[in-house]
Amino acid sequence: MDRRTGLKIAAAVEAVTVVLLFANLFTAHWPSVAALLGPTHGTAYLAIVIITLSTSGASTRSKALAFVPGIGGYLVLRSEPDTKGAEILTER
Amino acid sequence: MNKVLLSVHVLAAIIFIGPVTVAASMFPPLARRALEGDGDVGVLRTLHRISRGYAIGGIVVPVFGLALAIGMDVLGDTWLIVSIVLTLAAALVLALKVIPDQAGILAGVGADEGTRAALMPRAKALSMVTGVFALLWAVVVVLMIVRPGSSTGA
Repeated sequence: MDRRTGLKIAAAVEAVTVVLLFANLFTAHWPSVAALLGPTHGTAYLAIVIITLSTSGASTRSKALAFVPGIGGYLVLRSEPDTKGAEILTER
Repeated sequence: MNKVLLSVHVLAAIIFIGPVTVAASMFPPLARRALEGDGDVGVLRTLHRISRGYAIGGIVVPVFGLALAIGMDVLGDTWLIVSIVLTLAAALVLALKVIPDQAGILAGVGADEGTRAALMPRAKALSMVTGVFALLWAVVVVLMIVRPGSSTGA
């Protein structure tokens, strides 16, 4: 699994869990759902930040975008286009 | 819910931190051989990928651990604070020393003899640093099991 694939998975988890967390908060508000989704979201957020910061070729802009809550992963993927990203975000 | 969090926490430690420890400890002796000119660079590269990739997966462990600590209301316990500090130290050793040194050695493995000879001390030091990483998190595991001073069961 190269870095870009890892980033894609983490970005999806980050975005989906934050939506589910808010959906839960405003409706049923089950504590057990929050207890599971919260750490999952936190893990995805940290993974995105660490993958992006540890990629030497990533731009300063991408590194800043990684910290954006909820959608940071997708913002990083967007700011590092696939052609260039395939070079930069791929492990050799 | 704490039982689920605990299961994820322990499972992630086994699945992610275990391979990092093994791959990181296998790296230095193979790196020394590669720097001497007869090692398999492909294996070295794979070990580096495991060390780095699984380390990112390892984020699950402290995150679910913190959530569990809050759920169990033990966040202020001494054994846990000591564990958190040691975990941070282990993470820093891994992120700032083990992984970058592996990358540095990998970059120089195909270079000329002078460069490779210059990297040799780094490969030797890496054995020790990797041992420190393994020791740090082994101590954390023992703290998690023994929980000195805790009253929440054996």
